[in-house]
Amino acid sequence: MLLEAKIDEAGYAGGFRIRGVSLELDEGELVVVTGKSGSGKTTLARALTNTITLRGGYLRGDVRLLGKSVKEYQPGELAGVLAYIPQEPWYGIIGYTVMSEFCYTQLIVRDKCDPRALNEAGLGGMEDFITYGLSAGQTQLLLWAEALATGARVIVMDEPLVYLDEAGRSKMKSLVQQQLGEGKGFVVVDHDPLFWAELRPRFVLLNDGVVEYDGYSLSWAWEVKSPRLGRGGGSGLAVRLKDVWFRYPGYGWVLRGVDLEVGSGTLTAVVGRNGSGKTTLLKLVAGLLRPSRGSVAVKGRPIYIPENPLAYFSMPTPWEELVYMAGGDEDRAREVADLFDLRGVVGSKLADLSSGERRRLAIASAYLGGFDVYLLDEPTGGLDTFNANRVVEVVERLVEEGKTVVIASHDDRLVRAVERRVVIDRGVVV
Amino acid sequence: MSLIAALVNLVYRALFLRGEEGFRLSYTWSKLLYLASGLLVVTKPGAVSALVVMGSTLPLSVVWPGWSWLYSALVLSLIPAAWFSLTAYVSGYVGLPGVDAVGAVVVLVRSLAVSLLILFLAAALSPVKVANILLRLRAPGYYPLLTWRTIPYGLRVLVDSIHIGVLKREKPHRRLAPAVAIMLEYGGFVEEYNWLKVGGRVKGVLPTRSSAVHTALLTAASLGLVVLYVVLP
Repeated sequence: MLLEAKIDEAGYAGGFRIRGVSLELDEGELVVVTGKSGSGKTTLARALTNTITLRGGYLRGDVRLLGKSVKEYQPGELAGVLAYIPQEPWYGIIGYTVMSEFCYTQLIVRDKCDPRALNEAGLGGMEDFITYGLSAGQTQLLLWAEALATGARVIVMDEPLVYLDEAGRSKMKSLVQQQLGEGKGFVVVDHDPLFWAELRPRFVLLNDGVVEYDGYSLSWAWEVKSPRLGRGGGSGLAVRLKDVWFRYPGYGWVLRGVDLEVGSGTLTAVVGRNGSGKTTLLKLVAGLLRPSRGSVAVKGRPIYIPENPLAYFSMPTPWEELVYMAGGDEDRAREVADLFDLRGVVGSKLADLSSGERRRLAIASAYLGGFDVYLLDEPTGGLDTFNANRVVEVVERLVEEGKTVVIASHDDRLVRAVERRVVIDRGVVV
Repeated sequence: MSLIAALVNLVYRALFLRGEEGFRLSYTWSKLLYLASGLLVVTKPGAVSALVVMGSTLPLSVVWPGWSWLYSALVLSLIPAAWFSLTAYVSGYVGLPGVDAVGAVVVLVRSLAVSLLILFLAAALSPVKVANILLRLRAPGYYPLLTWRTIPYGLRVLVDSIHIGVLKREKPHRRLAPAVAIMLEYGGFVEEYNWLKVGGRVKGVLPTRSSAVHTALLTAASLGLVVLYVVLP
């Protein structure tokens, strides 16, 4: 048995907790932990990896890896047994180049660094590249290469698909399949359990901190109505890019001769692989970057809401943010909080909001600011289908109000819902 | 773009644009030799010695890190250089020992030369080699690596935040709080997700590469500076 967990209770003092969770993982076994946002998936991952105490939490019960309690392992010893790939992969990196990051981890378990796993993960030739310049998908692959190289027997992955494009997802699935064949065990936390179905995993469904289902059937899988977003439509053009070229200093071309027209009051999804230039395109439209060549014309005031919406906010609480953007008009702020279904969280701190709540709040705040063109970067990344749909509803509201919305995303659920898609491949609109 | 965002961008380009390549791969002794020769030459008074050092550093920096770095480093170096020059010039008018207009230009050129030299060698500093020194001393080797990773991240977060502030028509100082909030969150997550790396003892040193070409260039430039030091009046 690779892993045995008997968790009576784990969580945060005075806050959320999971209760009565038992989990066993055998060699070559894949366990997919799923559930809605806030059901306890990440808390379980933290309990299994003994990181919950670092977040001020507690664990009552026992988690045993290869027969030994996870609390008894020294960090260096544990690194050779367990690998943890977090949802936001960039937080899992301490090295400044691909090679220094990869080797630092490996040198904790052995005295020489073997770079072969970098090739297996598709990062061969990028050894001297700065990790800061990697896309989220590449960062995830780097952490994956580290997990392979340390020889970890148990690999815990939290939402591993969020930042991967189709090609990256297929690669991830085949790597997992290959490693399962070599006797490794995987615990994958994922809001999209169906993706893993062909690998015949055991599904653990969490709901409000307790296990609601544990088994191999998918009969419990919830039905979620896929949203459908029309293209909207107003009069005239809101955005026009003409032969736009762009590159960051010291790098090659990110965008090459992009022509794009976006009608006023419409919804457009910009899709493409990791590093294809989607975010750069949004920043150019917002005026945050200037094209190296070509021209960008925008009618009305644009606003850019980044992947991490914390960078958008100006005030420490949702209520203050809404009132601030409403120019002090509390009635208007209250009205918009209701409209965007934020009433229950307006008194919280921004730091305590979930990803979905932060994104809805950022859009609501921008809506109060009276912007005309909304540029949303990965607005549903990392959200379960239920919460992703709530963000989609908010986007739908903007379009209904005649606002122009451009979304950069590789989230299939969102992209499928949008009628007009612009595909970027290696800096070119195809 | 606001002035603060522009400055942050300059710092990013001057120090964090490149990976483990170019003069970062040259031997440490050659960098120290170049620093010593450059400083030796500027000990000679006047603008000519400073121009000699600049004349050596500028072409080297075009070889690596490149034009983009050179532009950023020149603008950044001009800030302290102009300040020193101006204050030296103005001092004379307020009764303190000062310099005339020609003297102010000399101060400007000399400050610029030293500043460029230091920025160039800071850019050529290899965090991997510093990490290895720490590892050999059995100290935590991840400090320089994490520093070189975190600072550009923080700078970019700050720039993004300031940019959004421009769209929201806010003053730049309002954007500091969201940037700090993100960095605090970043720190917490880095601590959590890297506890095995940070808590584990590293059993060896990180592999490094060396570049004979870049070492030779620095050595030749150093020798040239020493010769000019001897020749210059």
